[in-house]
Amino acid sequence: MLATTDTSSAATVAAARPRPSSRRRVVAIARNTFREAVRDRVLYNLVLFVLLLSVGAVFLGAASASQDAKIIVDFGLGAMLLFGAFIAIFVGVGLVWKEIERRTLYAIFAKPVGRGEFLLGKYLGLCVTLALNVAVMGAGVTLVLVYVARGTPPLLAALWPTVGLIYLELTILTAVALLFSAFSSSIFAVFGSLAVFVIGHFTADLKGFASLLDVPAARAALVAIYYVLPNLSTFSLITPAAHGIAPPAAYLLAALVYAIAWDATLLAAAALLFARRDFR
Amino acid sequence: MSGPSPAGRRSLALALTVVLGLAASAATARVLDTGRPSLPAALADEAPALSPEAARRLSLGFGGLAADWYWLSALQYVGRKIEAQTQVALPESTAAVELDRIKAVDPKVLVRYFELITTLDPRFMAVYEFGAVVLPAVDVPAAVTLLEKGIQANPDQWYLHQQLAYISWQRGDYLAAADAFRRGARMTTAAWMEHMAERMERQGDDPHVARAMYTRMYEQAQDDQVKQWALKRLMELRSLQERAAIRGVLSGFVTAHGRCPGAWSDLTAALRTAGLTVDPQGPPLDPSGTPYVLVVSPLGCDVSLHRSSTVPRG
Repeated sequence: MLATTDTSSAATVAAARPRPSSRRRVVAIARNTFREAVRDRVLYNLVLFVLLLSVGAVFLGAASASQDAKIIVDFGLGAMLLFGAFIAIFVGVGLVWKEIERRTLYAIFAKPVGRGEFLLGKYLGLCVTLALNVAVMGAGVTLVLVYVARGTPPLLAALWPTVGLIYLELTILTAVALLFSAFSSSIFAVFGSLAVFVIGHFTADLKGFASLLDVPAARAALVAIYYVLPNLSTFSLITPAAHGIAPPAAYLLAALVYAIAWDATLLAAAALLFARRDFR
Repeated sequence: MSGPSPAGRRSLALALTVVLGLAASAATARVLDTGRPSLPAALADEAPALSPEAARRLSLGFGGLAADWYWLSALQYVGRKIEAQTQVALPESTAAVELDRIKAVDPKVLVRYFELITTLDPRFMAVYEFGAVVLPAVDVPAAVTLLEKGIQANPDQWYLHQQLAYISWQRGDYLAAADAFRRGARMTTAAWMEHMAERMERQGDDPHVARAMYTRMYEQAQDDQVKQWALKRLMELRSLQERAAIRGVLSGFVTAHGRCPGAWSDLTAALRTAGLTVDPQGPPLDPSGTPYVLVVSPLGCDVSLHRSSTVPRG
């Protein structure tokens, strides 16, 4: 009898406590995801990046016949994209999969948290981690450039817009990783995401190859692939940046819209699939 | 009657987001395609940085695949250059054979592509064929080196000797061309290679030798672009021969009448007798089926190709 009374009073207290808004629930999950990434030493990759950049700046720069600034930008932005892509894919896949493996997902869904909110929170948390990662790496490249140029190098104007584009690409890759992990095993999700990363950088070439084909059906298929998969080479302007060519503002704006469109598409598809997933 | 459940409405909204997102991304992709900052031509045409040996080591057994990729890239590079030259070309040269517009390519870039492909896949025959036609216009020694490399890697391919002979013949080195034909003749039972070697030695600059050369290239070519190029060359040769015959007929008319003909119809019978294809309305037809133009001026009369003719003008 006493137990029954205790339970009912606890239920009364829970009912009296105002339920947090959807936005607050998403922010709470995002904050938690960021903390978890830091705790999992994800940001340790920055140490490796700084080491690589220092070696690159000292050795490659010295052996490059006064092309040191170009090599540093190529090297630094290339490493930024690769490191970021691996974090987005491996950590992104782990975001959902770890919760399932540890069975902590049941505890989360026992609370008033929707599956879509859970995914969105995880996504935003990893995006914040990646933003920090990219910002620190960008600052590292800037410092090395300033060091080798003994002043403000002209390449800086092209560097940061390109860093921004790399970040947009990473947000798409994170959404791809979440989409795959929403319905498949972790191994499939990693391979699928890596495949999208690789193919995404070649879709523009596929469209170019389509113009070489005489068969209309094959040409249409290649053009269809171009539009159905994200064209990640849109965000990869590392080579022009290394020559000091900055993307125009209109291009940056279009790239932002393109990234948002793909992020929304992928997250919505992930939420749709995740809502139907049976965890038993 | 109740509407869809909250879960159903949520699913509908998500599905709509997917559709709208895809549509927005497709629309933005077009804007991005046109607005993408491009490198200046000199930078965009940089040869692949990887050395052929490094590429072979890095290909990890996927040499054939990597070669295919570089082959497609090389074709795109050549196509881009031909396209760019077409846009700046003068109207008179628009009918020139497409592969002959290759002079705009950077030989360093093209040679590097061919080196990469043939190192990754030494039996990629189309590359040697394409290189034999394209490279001599920009770098003859590189073309010879490429073919020699191909012959070394494919000792059973007599066809490569024919390609090498073509390069030497184009340079006017008829003895080297004859030598290449003889080397090829030793590998095949086809007597025509030995025959070509003899003709090369006797009279390499004879138009009949040229016709035989392009006919063989047309028959043997695996690459469609090379085939079309050889066909155009044959059309050009035939047209040159036809124009020489027409000039003979014109000369005969002027001698007989003391004036130029007023129209082709004055010459129909003579043209037919000379073995030319004549349109029922009078004018002789060139190999592309376009009527020749009768040019009458105070200096005399002559024949020329019509502006719309697809016969190359050399």
